[in-house]
Formats: sequence, C-alpha cells, structure tokens
Amino acid sequence: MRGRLCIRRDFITRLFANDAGYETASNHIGPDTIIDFAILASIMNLYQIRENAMVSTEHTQSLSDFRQKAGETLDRLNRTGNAEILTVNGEARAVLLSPAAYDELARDAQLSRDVTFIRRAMQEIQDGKGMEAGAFFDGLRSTLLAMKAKQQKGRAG
Amino acid sequence: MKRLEITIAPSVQKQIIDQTLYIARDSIDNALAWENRLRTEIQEIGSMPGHAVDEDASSRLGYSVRKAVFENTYLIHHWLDQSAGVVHVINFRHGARLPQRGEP
Repeated sequence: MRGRLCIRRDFITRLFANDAGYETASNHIGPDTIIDFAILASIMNLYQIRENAMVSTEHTQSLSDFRQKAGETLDRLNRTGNAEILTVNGEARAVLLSPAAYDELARDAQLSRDVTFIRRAMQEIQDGKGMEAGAFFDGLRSTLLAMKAKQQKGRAG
Repeated sequence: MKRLEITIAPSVQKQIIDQTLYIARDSIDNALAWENRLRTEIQEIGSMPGHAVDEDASSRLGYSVRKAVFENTYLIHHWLDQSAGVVHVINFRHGARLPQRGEP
C-alpha cells in the first residue's frame, strides 16, 4: 500500500552513496529517463524502504494545497533543501526539489553511473578484453566508410 | 616522451560506436571527422597521460582514475597502468551536459 511519504534531502543523498541501491533502481528505468533518474530512483528507493524510521511525513502535501501555497512551498524548498512529495488522492505523484538540491542529486547520480561503468570496464580490461585504440578506430572508420559508400551507391541508383 | 600503448574497454567501445552512429544519422562525413578528432584526442592521452585525477570517482573506486575532456562536451576516464606502460580508456560519456532524448 502506498502512503503519504516524505524523505529528507540528506537521506536521498545517502541513497546515491550506495551503488548497489543505485543499480537496483536503474534496472527498472529505461534509457530515455536518464534526466529524471535521480528523482525516480529516490522514489523507488523510498518505497522499498518505507518502513525505515528515517522516512518522515513532515513535508507531504496534496496538489490542491500546493496550488494554494505554491510560493510558500517553493520558498521552503529553497531554504531547507529538503525534498517534498506531492500527492493526488493520497498517492504520491511527484517530488519537488529546489534546483540546487536537484543539481546535487544529479551530480551524485552521475558519479554513481560513472563508478558503475568504470568498474565494469576495469573488469573487462582485467579479463584481457581491451582493444588497442588504433585498431579500434581503424575498424570504426571502415564501418563509416562502408556506410558512406552504401549511401552514395543508393543515391546513384 | 615515449608514447604509451592505449587500450579501450569493450563497454567504452560501444559508447563510442553508439555516439559515432548517432552523429552519422545526420551526416556520415561529420561522423568521420568526429571519429578522427576523437582518435587524435585519445592518442594524445598516450603521449601525455598526466591529466587531472577525478577525485570523486577515485575516492569511491579506491584507485586513481584520470579524466580528459574532449571538445568541452565529452568526458574520458582513463587508468594508467604504470607497470605495464599502458593507458586504459575506461569511460566515455557526455560530460558538460546530459544526453538529449534518443542520444546514447
């Protein structure tokens, strides 16, 4: 069952310090959602651990409340740096963040992506799967030249 | 200074191929030119491997990885294996901005 939930910004930040948590969340997110990953991952992690005592309901508000107090809410978001959850009919539908808090999350998420990617690449290197750069680029160039020749042939035909 | 050997991990090869093919969707000539510039940039890492250490990534990984910026847009992470005299390219991605929709 979904409840009314809110999560502290520092707790969201800590979520991204856990690469395993990041990977778990990323398994459920398609390649087209990269920009919104930080927020989505936070929500997903939030639901996975909603029994955890660190989750508070202090800053959850309905969409109608938000409409009436938008300015006040935005001021609070920028002052506290906390994330707040917007609900519709009691169901969490969005997370509100200040630009600074979002940037921090995005940076942390990108760092986690980098670290995950680098670990995989280092394992490939250790397994002897790396290719000499010159050979790789020669192959890539050949592919492009073949594409160009095919394109020119298509135009001529 | 002696130029170090450079290897590229398979997952990084895929990143580069995907980006090249993305550019080629609009112009194969542009993709060829981009590939040539990237090849030069990566070869220069082998000549001058003293790029800045990425402190944040290195802190999490437990070893030093270095970063180079290509055309103010792409970030190239590499690891210098000093004992073997090899530079390994271990990450390639947009650095200055997040990818556009549909862009690798």
